[in-house]
Amino acid sequence: MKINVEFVGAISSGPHQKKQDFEVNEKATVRDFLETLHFDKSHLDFIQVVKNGKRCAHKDALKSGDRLELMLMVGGG
Amino acid sequence: MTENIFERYQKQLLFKPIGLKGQQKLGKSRVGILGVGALGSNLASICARSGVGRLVLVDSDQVELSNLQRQMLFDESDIGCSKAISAADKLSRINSEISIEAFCERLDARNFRDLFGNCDLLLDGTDNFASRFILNQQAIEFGIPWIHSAVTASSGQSMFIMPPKTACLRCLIPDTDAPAEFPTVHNSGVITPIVTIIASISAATALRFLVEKHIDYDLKYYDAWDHRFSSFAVKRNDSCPHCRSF
Repeated sequence: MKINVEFVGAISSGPHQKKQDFEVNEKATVRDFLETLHFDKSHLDFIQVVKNGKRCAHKDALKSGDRLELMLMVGGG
Repeated sequence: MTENIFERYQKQLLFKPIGLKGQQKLGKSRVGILGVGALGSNLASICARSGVGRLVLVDSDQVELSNLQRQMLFDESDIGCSKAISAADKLSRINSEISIEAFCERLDARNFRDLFGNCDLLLDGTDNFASRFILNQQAIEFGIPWIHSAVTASSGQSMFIMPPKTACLRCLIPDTDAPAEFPTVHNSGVITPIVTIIASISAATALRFLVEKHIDYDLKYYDAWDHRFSSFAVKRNDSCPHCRSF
């Protein structure tokens, strides 16, 4: 199934376009999808995910047509 | 209020949601700021100029040349001096009618009560998650609301935290420590505009809370390079080991 993903801010640098469609497996969770990306595994807990306009948990299931915004919580000050 | 205060806060008094009553509430408020670097010096400046009556500044670092790009309260004459004391000195020249306490200390569980125990609100000006997790835990234990702020590169976030009404920082970030290579200003840099933008967002949230007790439930995320803003509600994590008992 296909989902649309936007990489926002500090997370946007990487091999992907800022907005891009991805094919994911049926029954995949948000976390399953994140683990397929280029991110350091130790950073995954710091990624906030907004799904179809609402924040969601990494354990949430994806469905075809979902629109995700990914944001890495930054730590400087 | 003296005539001088009417003159000093003239434009803020004209802003109806604050007005005279709100200004008096600000004058009676005590706000603690942990970290007086980039975010912290901007937060402190806004609070002092706005008439927050008592400020507590905590920072164990000294001013360095590389700080001047974004740490607005400092200039070349401050290099090598304590950030907390230099900031307090500058702020007292901006507003001599407020009380400012400066502490050159590093926050831990043992000194939280002495530094911040009497504060109405705490503001996050730190530059690392380890300090924020201490602040989160202590603020929960003492029942003091706080506002999380952070910046790196061109991005930043701001979030009001007041369990049990809101999520806490650990509701967002489970029990993991920030990895050593996590992006911070030390390895990914930071541009000055995002510092002032995030500090301004957090300061506005602070003023509204102090004046109206308004509780903001949204995490606000901004990227200053792409001018991309996102604001989304954060619900409490019922299994959060840090705030679930409240």
